[in-house]
Amino acid sequence: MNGSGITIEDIRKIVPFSQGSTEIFLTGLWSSRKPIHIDKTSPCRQACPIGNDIPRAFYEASMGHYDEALRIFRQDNPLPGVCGRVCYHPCEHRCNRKDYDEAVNVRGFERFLADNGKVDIEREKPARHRQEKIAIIGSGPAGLSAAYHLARLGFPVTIFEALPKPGGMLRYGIPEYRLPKGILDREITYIQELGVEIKTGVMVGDDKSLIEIQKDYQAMYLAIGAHDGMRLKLEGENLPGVMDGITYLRTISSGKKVKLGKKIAVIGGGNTAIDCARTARRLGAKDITIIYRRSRSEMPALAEDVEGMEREGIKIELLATPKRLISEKGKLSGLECVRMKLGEADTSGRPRPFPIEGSEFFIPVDSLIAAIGQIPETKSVRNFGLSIGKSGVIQISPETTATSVKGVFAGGDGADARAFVADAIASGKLGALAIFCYLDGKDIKKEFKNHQIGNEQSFSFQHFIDPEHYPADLKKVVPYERINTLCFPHGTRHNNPERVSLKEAVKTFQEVIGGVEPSQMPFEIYRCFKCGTCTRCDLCFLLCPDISIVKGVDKYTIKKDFCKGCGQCAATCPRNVIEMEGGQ
Amino acid sequence: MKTLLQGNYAVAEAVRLAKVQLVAAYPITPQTPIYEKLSDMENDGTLPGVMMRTESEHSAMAACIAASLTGVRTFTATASQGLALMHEMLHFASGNRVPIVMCNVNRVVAVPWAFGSDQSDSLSQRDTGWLQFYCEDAQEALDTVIQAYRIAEQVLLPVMVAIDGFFTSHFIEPIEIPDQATVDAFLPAFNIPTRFNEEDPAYIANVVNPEQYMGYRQKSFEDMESTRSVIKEANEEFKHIVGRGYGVVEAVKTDDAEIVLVTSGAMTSTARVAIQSLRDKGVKAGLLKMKALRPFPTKEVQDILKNTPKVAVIDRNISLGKGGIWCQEIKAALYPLEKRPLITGYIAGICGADVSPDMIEDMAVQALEGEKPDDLPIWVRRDQ
Repeated sequence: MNGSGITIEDIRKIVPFSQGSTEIFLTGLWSSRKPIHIDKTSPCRQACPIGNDIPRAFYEASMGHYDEALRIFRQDNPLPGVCGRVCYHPCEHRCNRKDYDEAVNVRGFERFLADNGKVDIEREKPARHRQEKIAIIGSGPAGLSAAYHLARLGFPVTIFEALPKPGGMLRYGIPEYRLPKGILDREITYIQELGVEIKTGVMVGDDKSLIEIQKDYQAMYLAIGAHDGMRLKLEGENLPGVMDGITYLRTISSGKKVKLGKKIAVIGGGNTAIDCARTARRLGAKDITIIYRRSRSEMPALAEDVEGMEREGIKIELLATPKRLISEKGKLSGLECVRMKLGEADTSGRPRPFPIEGSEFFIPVDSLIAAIGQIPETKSVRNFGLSIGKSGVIQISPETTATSVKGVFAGGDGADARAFVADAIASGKLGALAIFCYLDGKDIKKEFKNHQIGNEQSFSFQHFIDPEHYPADLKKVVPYERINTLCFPHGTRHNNPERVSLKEAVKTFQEVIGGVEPSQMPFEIYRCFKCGTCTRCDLCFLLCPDISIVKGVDKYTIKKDFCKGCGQCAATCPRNVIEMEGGQ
Repeated sequence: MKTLLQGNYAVAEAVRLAKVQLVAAYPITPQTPIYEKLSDMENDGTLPGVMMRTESEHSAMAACIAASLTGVRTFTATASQGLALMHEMLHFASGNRVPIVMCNVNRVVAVPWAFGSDQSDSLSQRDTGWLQFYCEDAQEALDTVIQAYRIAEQVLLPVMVAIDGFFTSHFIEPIEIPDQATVDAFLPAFNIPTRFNEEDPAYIANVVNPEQYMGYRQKSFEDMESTRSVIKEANEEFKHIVGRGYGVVEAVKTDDAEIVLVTSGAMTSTARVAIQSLRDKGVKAGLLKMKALRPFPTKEVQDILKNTPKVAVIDRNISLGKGGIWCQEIKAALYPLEKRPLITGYIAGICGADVSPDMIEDMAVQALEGEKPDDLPIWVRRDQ
């Protein structure tokens, strides 16, 4: 090569030059480790007893598809407006974001969707109708949940409810200031619109026997709840001025009045106790004391509700328990209490309280509300041949929800499910699956395993209905370590605000906690990592040095013939949708 | 008429005069004034081309390669870490046979972090397929950049012009800037056809089989060999038109010398003073200035040193595990001679450490006394 006047032909002789495609070189053959794009699930979803697909709902909402996000919640949960308010949100306790800054306000999100989203019931109606009729006893969260899921599977469902209105504890146990009745009514209406018939005012046992029902229905689900308050078993418990918590709440919720004195003591540390105290406060009582035998951290009530209660001026006497009820002129006049100390953990995992001898003290009271737990009211079903456990609950096999009577299933806290709304809904959902399996001759244990989320208590109804087209691997739960946190700026959580002043709050039953500001919700939606759910962020597509990631309509695929297995896509995927497999 | 200019600005003037169409660069000490001066020129409209401010030297070189392939004259300048970062693209440039000209302002390579002059940065790019010229002063830098374009574009190989950081890049010297007509008479307009055609797309740097690869490499090697005559012609023509010239080597008083000092870059000017002083004292000392590293002027070095009894090579660079890089090259070049001089290697002025005429004289005297020099270099440090 020498001199000027170089032509392109000259150049082509001295440098490699190709007008063919490089695709003939299958560079992917040189490595055995390849990425796979597979949606997974999140720890929050695994923690949710109902199995709500939280990350996917957040993803849809992030695209502005709020109605679709609500629909995702409603695939597993017929009561998002209820759970969005009163759930103990185990999802947030296991939120991966908690390890980064603060857990995402999942409950606030669910409430936001339920309050603002549109439900298209027509779209949810089953394609196939079944002949087998199903009776459900009780319209609390477990009964409603079982009814909803069975109706979605095409079964004609009838609910028998003893009380005048449906909802069970949601209506008669949770006061209006935590769960407005309108919200409950709307969600129950959706269930009715799906075809579920609710017969209220029918006390099974008195009005209609189970045997009678059994003749007309191919399967039955007992969700009778736990409506009997547990007794203190103390001297003087029958004095006027003493009542149990759940009866108190039910009476108030039914619009009746209860006459309480000036000084009120509430025994117990659960939500019923707190709700009794706050309800009494709203009805004008000024001097209310909660007496709880363990310390604050063992209180089963939600911490935020305990705090709310304290702000309302209700006192708490911790590590104390009543020993004796003292009367004056045939009326309750005070409590003799004893101080407690905590010992070893008991079967509930909490430390067992012991009385400290000689520590007795006196509290003057006019009224006493005992909210120390509830048991089912089983006399109505006793003649039916069901096994009833020692603690008064209907005995079932926890895996199959089957009672001792063939074709009869049971759930909710009447069958010893945990006494939380979410657990009752989960219980009803499992009951629906059990009844389906019973009628179709399928193995419920196997079915549950197939559709189980992670390795915990919940399963996906959507996966059960259409496993072929399900977008995620439910068995893979993305841990925090697999989140590429570099992709997420830190940001504070958007909490639900208190929407009435304290002064107002104690005067009415208006809902205390408001929804997250609609203008702030997108920021909270953005905070969610969407663990395991592909958001089409394109990071893998843009960063692949070998142009081996192909953007499809609904997912990315990997050109294995050209991918050299560098792992860039897997390492950068913000939410662990891409992972490496093969080779070593 | 001469103008007072620092070496960096002299290089920028050469780029302007060469009518470079694309400058792609990233600033780095001690090259930054080149970048700044070219930016000024672009701003005031005197730079015929455009400046592309890249985010790294790797990208700067990639941009020059791509631009050159489309048929334009390109320039970049860098130093030290910047050149190291470019390394991969240096091979791409020579493999793609693009006539890029780059000025590298020699600076030590980290670690430790420092800024002084040291040739290790560019000498470690020896095998990237670039022509490499080391300049003694700012005037030579200006003239060499202009010559480099003519050479590069004739043989389709890239050329690196190295100047010493601070000594040449920042010291102000009287410089003769040729006028545009003079440069135009020497350097024709860029006339290499674009290798990209939108109508008929092609792929450059494609995969080849081993035989093809070896063929391309041999061709490149042969073309690099052919540059020897091209360099010579260019220099002669430059001397004819502009009035100045430089060989790939320069011999000073070597004919009767008993000791010849071999230097490169700015240190050569100091050595010129030292050999004069030695001559005044009766020591028959000579000087061999090395300008070209690649292609290596083996024949010229052999011709000059074939009758010299003793040689001292002073390196402002170090190859760990061997010694000074120029010294290795000189030794290899002289090996075929029947009568080989005794060669002592010195490592001096690393990181811009001072190398005074006295020190050079001492090295010459010591080398002259040596009967059987060690293959290992001798470190010359002022602090010891």
